[in-house]
Amino acid sequence: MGTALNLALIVLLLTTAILAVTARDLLAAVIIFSVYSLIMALMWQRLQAPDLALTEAAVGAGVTTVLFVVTIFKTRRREEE
Amino acid sequence: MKRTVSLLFIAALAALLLYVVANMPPMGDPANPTATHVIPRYLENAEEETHTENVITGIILNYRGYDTMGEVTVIFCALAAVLAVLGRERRGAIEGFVDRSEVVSSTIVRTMVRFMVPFILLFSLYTIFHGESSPGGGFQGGAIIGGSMIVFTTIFGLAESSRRVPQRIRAALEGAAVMGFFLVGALGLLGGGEFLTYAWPKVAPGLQPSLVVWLTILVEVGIGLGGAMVLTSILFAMIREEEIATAS
Amino acid sequence: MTAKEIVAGIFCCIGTFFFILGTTGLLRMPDIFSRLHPSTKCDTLGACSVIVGMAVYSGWSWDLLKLIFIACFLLLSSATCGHAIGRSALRRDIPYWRRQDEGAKSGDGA
Repeated sequence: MGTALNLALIVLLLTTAILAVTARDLLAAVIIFSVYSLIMALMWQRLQAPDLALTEAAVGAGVTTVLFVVTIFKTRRREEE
Repeated sequence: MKRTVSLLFIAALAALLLYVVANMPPMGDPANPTATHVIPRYLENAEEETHTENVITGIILNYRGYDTMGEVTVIFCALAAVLAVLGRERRGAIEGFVDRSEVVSSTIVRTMVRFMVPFILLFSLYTIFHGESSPGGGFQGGAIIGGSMIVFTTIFGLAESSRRVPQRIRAALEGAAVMGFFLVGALGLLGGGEFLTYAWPKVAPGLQPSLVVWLTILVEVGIGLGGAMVLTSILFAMIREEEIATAS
Repeated sequence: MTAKEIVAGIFCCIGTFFFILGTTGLLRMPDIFSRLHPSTKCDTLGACSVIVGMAVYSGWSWDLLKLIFIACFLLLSSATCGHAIGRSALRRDIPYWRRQDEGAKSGDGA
């Protein structure tokens, strides 16, 4: 049971990481990156590191996402070919 | 050609890293050196040496106090870099800001944010003050305060938000995080203890555990408020330029 | 397996089912307004069912109080979130979805 959950989390983590890098739409990439941070927070919790899980959820999924979105609105949304 | 070379390089690097990882001791193995020497040492002695119930806080602020002070300095330097690029608002220039968006945010959202932000702040204060005995601490609580400031600024606009948290308060608190950490650590030297152990054995031997706990919490509060103000200032610096550009 | 665990499991399964429904709706619906409908439903009903399941599992304890708080804030924030998204989409004149032969029209005429 625990192993299956760990495997599912790792697969999701890798998928979101690859998608965040390859996405052409930068806004989509930022949202995927925040999902990545959330999954990472779950994994820290599974590894019995609640302090890190809190940090990852607050900083990774919360604050940096907003800062990235602000940056995108001040620059360009699409990646150039 | 270039693509092939870089792909080959990445493949070689991946193979090397996987080889190294395969040779590492297995994770969570009780026979690892970390599990036989480091972890038992911390788990057995941390509570009586650092007087914090949460061993991680003891390690972060006490055993590894230098590292954490470096991290706080790094956060401060990040803010300095952002402000060097984007510039800081002038003092008292807040009235010059205009609300850029044509759409007035709805009453429902305003009421809800006004209702929720105090609860978020309460939770963040709990995270900071309880970091000594439960998961959490200055960095986490500071990030939550920063998040609540972001929510407030998004809904009520930069003018209202920077009226609530004016620049002089932010500037003072940002510096106070690093300075406070250093001063609280250095006061231990005067009290006959060591740097960043928060113990004053000469001055107050009887007060030892509670004094250490309170100084640890003080450092946590400093980190939390300083980190929150750094995040707020970065956000303000990033959205400020736009508002001035449309105002002129 | 005790009766408590079975009831908690049933509630969690109901919640997960609504989450799956909501995600399917989010992927299948044509425009932002109709997508809001399934996604907010899945937030409130699905997450609250899961929380009710966890509350049954935890019994009378401090965890129950925390779960009630989580449920309250979840209900408030997800409803507000749906309202804010719908309102800003309306204000920005994002076109409604029509049948293919009529074509997409601007949202202000509706």
